[in-house]
Amino acid sequence: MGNTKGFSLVESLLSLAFSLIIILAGLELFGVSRDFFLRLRSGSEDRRAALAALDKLESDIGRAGRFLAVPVGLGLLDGLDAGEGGLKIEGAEEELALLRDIEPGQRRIEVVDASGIKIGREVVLGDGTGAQVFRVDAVEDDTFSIDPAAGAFYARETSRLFLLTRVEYALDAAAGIIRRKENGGGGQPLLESVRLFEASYDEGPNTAFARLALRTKEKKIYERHMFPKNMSRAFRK
Amino acid sequence: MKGICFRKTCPGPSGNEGRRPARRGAAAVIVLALFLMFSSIGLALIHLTQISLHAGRAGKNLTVLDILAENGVKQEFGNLSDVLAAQPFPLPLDETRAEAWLSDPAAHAGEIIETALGRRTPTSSSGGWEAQTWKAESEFSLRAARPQGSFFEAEFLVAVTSRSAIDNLKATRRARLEAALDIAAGNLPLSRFPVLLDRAAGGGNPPEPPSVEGLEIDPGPGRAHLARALVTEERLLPVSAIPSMERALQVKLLTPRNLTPTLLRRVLGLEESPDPVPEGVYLIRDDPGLGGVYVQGDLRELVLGVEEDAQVLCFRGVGSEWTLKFSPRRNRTELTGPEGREVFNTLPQAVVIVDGGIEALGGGRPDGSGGLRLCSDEEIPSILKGVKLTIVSTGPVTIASHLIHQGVTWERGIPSIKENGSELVIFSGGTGLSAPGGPEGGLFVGGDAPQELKIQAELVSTGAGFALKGPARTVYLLGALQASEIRLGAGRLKVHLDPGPADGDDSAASELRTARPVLLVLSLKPRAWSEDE
Repeated sequence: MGNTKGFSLVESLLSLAFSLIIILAGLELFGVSRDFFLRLRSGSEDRRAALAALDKLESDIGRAGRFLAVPVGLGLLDGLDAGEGGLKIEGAEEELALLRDIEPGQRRIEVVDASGIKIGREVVLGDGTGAQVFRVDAVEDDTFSIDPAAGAFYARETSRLFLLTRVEYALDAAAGIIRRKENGGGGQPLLESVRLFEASYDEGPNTAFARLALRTKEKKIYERHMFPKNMSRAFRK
Repeated sequence: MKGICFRKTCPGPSGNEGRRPARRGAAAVIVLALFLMFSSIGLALIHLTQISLHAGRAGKNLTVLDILAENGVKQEFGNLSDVLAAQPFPLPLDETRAEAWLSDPAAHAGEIIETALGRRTPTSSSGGWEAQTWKAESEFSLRAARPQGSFFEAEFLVAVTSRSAIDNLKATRRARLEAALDIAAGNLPLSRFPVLLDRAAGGGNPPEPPSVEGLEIDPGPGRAHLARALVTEERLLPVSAIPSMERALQVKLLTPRNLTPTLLRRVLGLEESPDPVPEGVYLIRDDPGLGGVYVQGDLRELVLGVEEDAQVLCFRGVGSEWTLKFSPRRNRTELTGPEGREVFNTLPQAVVIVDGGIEALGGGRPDGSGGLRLCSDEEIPSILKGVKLTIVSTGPVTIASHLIHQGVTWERGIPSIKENGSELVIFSGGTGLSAPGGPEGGLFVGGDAPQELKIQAELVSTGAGFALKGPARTVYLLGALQASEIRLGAGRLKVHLDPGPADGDDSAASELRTARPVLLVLSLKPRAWSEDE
């Protein structure tokens, strides 16, 4: 008889209660783990977003002053300028092959391919000793008009023409957004929920420094020291 | 009902019949299910962590690849610099080859660059550490060639690219450096060589290069390979400064031998005769205007000075004195000598030819009597802004005081050059006229010269070469020095190359060119850096 006897009601209820306790404990543990995981993931995403923003900034800073050694040396362009308002980066986007010499007073430039040039963009023309920055007024086929007129003679063989690119970083403090503006266009949000964004550039050792902090992580500050190679004095001499 | 749960608790007579021993224990099933569930959650979390790790590792690898690619570029650029530093510049060229290059540099671009580097192009290098590697390559292309009469300058674009890799990783990264390599070939202006030791231009045995301790050369950025005394076994210094002499004498000379006493007397306005020219200072004048100054015999002193807007040259011989003042602003020249004072409303050629030696050359101040007093200690400007003065002598020249240009300041031995457009060229032994009873030329720093002497000039000397006399001193030279010998003794010579005089069509320094065609790499300068983005 003893072998055929099943669980009593009390045993069943007890086992049900125990099962319930185990399940509830398991669910609670799962919930805690999930919250922890989500918090970790959120923190990781914030960190990645902040680091990605710094990566983008570093990539842009790497282009600062590229092919602009002469105009930067002459003080026509900054190459890299950091202040309280944010950061301004100037570099050459692409080289435009000149078709002819440029005479003083000339207002039209003919190149091999002007497809990448838009009205309002700036171009930099220079040789080993002199340079000039122009604004593009009109584009027609592979010829474009410039303002102001060329101030000197630029021989086709010894001169180089570059399409200038300007990138600006600024913090929209009210919205907590770092915006990245390229060539005067609308500022695209680079990073949201930003509490702090500072950038500086020291010409002496040629180092740039950026730091930012997010609203979600009060204590964490992301910092990066960067070496803008093209702003090095070796490139300007 | 044949449920699998709680079968034992089912009442009824058939309860024992329905029991299946193999399926007892529903709790075990629940526990197993829970175990499975928690294991899955745990494994999923571990898996997510792995993804995170992979992402982090990939980021780290990209950073390492960037650094490797950067190393490759730096190593390759460093190799190029080392190749230039090891090349025995100036490289001699035969006339035929130089002429062919000069007539069409673009057609010979490959030959020019390979001669300059002494190796085949493109050049490459590789390196790495354990599983991390890089490969770099330099490609050269002619960007521009500028003919300059007897020579040309070519600008090569150097594209240094490097690709990095890590074993068992598909990703690679690339870095690129664009540099400019400037080459000059042909009969080059001597001022392109910061310090040139011409072992064939001396009178005696070929001299040894000066000690590294005594000679310090700062050739400027991108010219590290020229920070040494360049040595040539074949004579490169010209026998004479023909273009400068032609300017001064206002005659066409093929060689100095054409300058016979008869011709010289005619040029100087003397009575024609085969007799030698009487000793004295002559301002050459001709129909087109004034020429330069010709000095027959040795000078005890030649003092240079600036008086308001005029350049002053005071010539002192034995018992006689001449003063030449000329003001480019007023277009007026004044010559005062034993025979009186002459005024001209035109400017002379700023060339002084001395058929003899100069016992003391230096800067001075007005002495109150219209002449100049040599100032051996004062650092005063003695070359007027914009004046390009050439002094050519047959015999030795001794520098007795500072020779400083207007608008140039020296701070802790480093000159601060402003655009002043002035030049001073001194060529001792450069008239091509034979010096009686002794070696031609020689440029000396006198024993009474300041302890720290500052000279801004292009110095050329054949014969006895360049030597520091007297106690050990330091000479700061802003310019260049080409000599048959360089003897510094216990003294020091610090040369800071001034590339300015070599530029420009009216440069006095560029009139003096190598007697044979040679090749020289002028500079290797980085221009732009780019990386994979």
